[in-house]
Amino acid sequence: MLQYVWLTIAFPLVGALVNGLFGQRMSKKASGTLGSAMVFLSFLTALASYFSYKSWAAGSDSPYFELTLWPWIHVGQLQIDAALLIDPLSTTMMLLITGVGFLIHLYSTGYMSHDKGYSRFFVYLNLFIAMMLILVLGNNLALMFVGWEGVGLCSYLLIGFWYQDMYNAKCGMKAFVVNRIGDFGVLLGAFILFWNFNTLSFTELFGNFSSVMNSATIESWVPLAAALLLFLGATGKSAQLPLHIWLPDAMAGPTPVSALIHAATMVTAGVYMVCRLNPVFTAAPTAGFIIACVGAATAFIAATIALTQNDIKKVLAYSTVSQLGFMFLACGVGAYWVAMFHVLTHAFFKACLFLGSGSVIHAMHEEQDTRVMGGLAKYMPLTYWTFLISTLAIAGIVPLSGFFSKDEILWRVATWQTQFGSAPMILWFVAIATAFMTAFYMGRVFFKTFLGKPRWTKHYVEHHHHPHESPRSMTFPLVVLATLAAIGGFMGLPHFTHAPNFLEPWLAASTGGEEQLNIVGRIGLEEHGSAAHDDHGTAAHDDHGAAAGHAEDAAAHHEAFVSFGSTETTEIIFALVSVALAAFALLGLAMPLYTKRFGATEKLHTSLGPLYRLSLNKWYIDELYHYLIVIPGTALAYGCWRVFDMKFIDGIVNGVGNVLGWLGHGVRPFQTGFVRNYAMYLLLGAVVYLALSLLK
Amino acid sequence: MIDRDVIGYDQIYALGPVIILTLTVLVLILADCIWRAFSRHVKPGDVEHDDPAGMGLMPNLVITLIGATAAIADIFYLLGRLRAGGGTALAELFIARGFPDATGRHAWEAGALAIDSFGLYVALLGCLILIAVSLIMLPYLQSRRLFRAELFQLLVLSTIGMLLLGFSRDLLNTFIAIELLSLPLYVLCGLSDKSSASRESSLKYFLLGAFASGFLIYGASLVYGAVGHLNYKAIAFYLSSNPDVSNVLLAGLSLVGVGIAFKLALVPFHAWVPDVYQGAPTPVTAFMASGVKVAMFAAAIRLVNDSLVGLDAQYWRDALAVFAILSMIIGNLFALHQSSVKRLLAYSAITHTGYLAVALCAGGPAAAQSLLIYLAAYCIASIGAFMLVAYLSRPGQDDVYFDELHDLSQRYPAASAALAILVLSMGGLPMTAGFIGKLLVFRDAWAAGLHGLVIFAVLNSVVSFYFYLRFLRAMYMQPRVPGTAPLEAGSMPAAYAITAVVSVVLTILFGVLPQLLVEWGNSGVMLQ
Repeated sequence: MLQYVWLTIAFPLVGALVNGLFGQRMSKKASGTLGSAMVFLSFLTALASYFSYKSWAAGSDSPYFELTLWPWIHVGQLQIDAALLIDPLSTTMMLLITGVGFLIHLYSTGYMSHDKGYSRFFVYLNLFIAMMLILVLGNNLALMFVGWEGVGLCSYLLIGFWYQDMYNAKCGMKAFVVNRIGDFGVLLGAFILFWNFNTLSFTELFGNFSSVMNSATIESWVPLAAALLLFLGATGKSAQLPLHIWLPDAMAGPTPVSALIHAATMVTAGVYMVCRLNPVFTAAPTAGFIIACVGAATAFIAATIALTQNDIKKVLAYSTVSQLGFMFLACGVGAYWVAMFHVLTHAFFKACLFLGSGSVIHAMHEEQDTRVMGGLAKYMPLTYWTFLISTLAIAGIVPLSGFFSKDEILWRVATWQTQFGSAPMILWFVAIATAFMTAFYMGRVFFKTFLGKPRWTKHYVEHHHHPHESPRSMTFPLVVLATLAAIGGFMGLPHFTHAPNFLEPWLAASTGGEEQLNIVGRIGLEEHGSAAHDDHGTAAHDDHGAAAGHAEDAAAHHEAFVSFGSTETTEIIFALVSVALAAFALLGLAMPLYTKRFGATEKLHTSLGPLYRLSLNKWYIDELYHYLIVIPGTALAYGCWRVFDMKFIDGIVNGVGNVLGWLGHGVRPFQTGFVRNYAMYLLLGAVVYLALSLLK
Repeated sequence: MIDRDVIGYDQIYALGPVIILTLTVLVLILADCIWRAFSRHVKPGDVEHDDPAGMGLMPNLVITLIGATAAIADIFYLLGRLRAGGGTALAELFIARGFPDATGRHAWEAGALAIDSFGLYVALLGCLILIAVSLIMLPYLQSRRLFRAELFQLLVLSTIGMLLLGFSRDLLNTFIAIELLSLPLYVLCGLSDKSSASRESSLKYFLLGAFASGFLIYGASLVYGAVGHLNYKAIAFYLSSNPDVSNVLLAGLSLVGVGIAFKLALVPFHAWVPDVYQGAPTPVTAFMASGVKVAMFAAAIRLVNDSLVGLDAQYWRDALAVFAILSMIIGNLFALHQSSVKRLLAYSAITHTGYLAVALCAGGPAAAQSLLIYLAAYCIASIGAFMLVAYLSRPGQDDVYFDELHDLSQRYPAASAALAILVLSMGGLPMTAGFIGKLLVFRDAWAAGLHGLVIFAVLNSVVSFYFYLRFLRAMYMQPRVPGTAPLEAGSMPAAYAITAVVSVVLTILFGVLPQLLVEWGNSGVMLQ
């Protein structure tokens, strides 16, 4: 069965092709059904692959199942095959993409039902699924990059889906251009890896990694440079500082797109890449530190911005940026499986939130401003309940999924073994503050939308409407996703529960496997034990100890925590603190402020004037880019065009063209049309020929 | 080792494709006689009256296609035998030998015809071109109401000349093959007897062709006078054993060169090309642009590789290089301002001859293989492009002007796209077959040390994009010229459509997967 895993990619590709070629002639129902059915088939294939992978892996030493489809680029040393890699990491992503993807396709059949570009929408959406699967299944950086660019293209096309509106088209362009910067980093990172390891294939890279590193022919800057450049790509794709600016604007696209691409799947591609290439990142502890800092800063700043936004989708967008920051924080401290755990739970609740917001927007006739909503709970109960569950999940309330993944991240940050002094504590404080803000702004948007007095009455009375619940094709995905958001956390229960943790051993095969231990082995096996057992508080480890800390398997990890004090008690206290903070933010702050005492925040706005404006204006980062980059860039481009291109280049080109054109006219008289002239040329040619040969 | 003196079964086998095509001609003549004997109508005019769709041409087309297909099958069979045998040549016919030396060994020994894989690949190209041209001939004749049954015989005869040229290693054989190739073409050019341009092109081609043949045969006689033999190996041996080359031989070789250069259409022997290409019926033009070019370059590279190897390169290479440079410049300059598509393609053919002559200058087995590849790519594009001209042109006009192409993409999107792809392939755009041909030819010439020539050729191929892009500009960007009547080509006949699809698909396929074409060309090994 594993040989047929390529079908997961083929199904949506066929869907895109058929809808693209014949969609215009098909009924809406047919083209929507086709698009959804293809993704569902893809999901079934992914499920089947999962089970056959499990049985395969049980009898195999290596966690990597390679499937070479055909030789792709074979030039000299560069040997790239169109090959797929099936391992726990890619299987997890594959299930997530096709599963959530199917639900969102289904939702779109209802959401887009009145749109003129219905079949075009499904073409892009199916193409996106195919590209995303290529991204996560590719067994080499080149194929991954194909998917990477492919999803970027689909994202661009879907953000600007309603391209008749210039604003949407510009948002699409912004996303595309900002992502270019990151893609440049990915390419350079891939070049560095190829240059040093002579391969782009993941399995070959992992196979050689420890031996090449051990042989010490690799200079120490190599893994650091590669890791940082690849991370630059991740900051672009996954909207991290300072390249996060495109994601909020990407909300110009239809809401299912925001849910699928800009929340659940594509934006997590950066996290996936870091997890996939974790040996490279583990070999460069400094890169890990930078990633953790960038992640924490992004999480914090985005959360502060989300506090004051009024557009329901904007809040969710900044929340996504913030949550992605959490994932990178986990990657940075080496807790790759936890990052993936958060990718999963975040996909569930954030997709549910976005789809819920879409349902609200649908009901409110394209109104997105929470200031004119309120009291929707009784009109759309299903949307209300699912949104509530997801809000509680993202806020981190026990026992919903967000609590487990976020809490695991916080815990791993706090117990991070690193040489960077008090970094874990600072990062932990930033993260817990972010978690607090998350609960608050989610509560704010939830209460403003669903509870309190309706603020839309006037508007709707004029139009003889009242909001109504969305059709079943839209509410069904909401219910499924809310269920997943509620129970998804039980995949990875924390240690103190002593319950079986399903996710960690499963993902450890990809993200915390042997390879890392081998590197650790090279860096200093002897120090391994002592370094790991050092008191965390002194935090004066050398490189080697830090790397060792990253790479421990679950048991060693557990052991190491003993030094922190009574580990389990501490962990429970940490969990209680974060739940208490979240509950306070939700019920103690957001609920009264945005239901009973609505309008009280106006006073806060004035008293906290500068801070409020900083948040509302998104820290003026867009303006900063505008003045520092866009304006000088435009001026430079204009100058190049007017002076260099029009005068100089065009001058040369036109000059050459004119001379040739003049010559072309000049030779015309020779083509007389008379045979006698032609015969004379022939004779002259013969004479020249003879002369050239004989006079030698 | 086969007995080289006796013409045995093996040799007759080896000549299979030629024999099959000859039989095809006989069958065609016979069929024509039978048709005329049993038909109530004696004159073609009657046929026209009774048979407005021109279905009476079908038997001839079918016989031609069967003959060509059988020849191709035979070629594949022979290639299979050749591969199984492991050698480079299947047979050599009409063996000649130099005088034996003291030990009784012959100084040289070679056949006048070599059935090697190079020759077989040339034959394969020739038969494929025959099939393509016959296919596009039918709808052309139907739309022009030209029911001339004899033209299929002439086409096949001319193809036989092509096949023989690919095998020939002897000046006399070469001469005969060139005449066999050309004489039917003189007639074919004048096929459209209602059109004065067609008659004019026939006469011009004939007069100048006869003039050039005179040079060739005179040159051959001088060579015979100096060497005492016409076999290429004999010439090579003579050159290697006589360091002081006699002027008689040099003059003879130069005049032979003039004769071949005329058929190749190298400047300054090119002046007939635009007039003849424009005047001739378009499928015949397609045949000349593809088939004649393949055959003449095959003959030229054989002459260079077999006989001139012994000659100090400067004696022939410099002159050839001058002609190559002139061909590229003059072809490009004339092409820039042409208003007629056929004339433009004619000048572009001259430019291509210039590029190919660069490969001739390089010489050697690698150049022979690259030439095959380049020619295959060029033939595909060229037949396709002329076919589209035949399809688009008005019945009374037999040519298309750039004014008429304006806005064509709106009305004939498929034909426009096909024409655009084919001319871009001629220009050598990457991802098309034409690029691969150029790349290989220039690579070989660079390896042979002809750096200046290659740089010059590359610059010229940049300039040539100007006029190839004129097609795209006219079809896709320019609005219709007020006052010109739009082209009314109607829906595309099946034979045209097949040719168009095949040529476009092959052009892109070979451009994307060049190894298909390169491996094919690289197995065309020439007997040394």
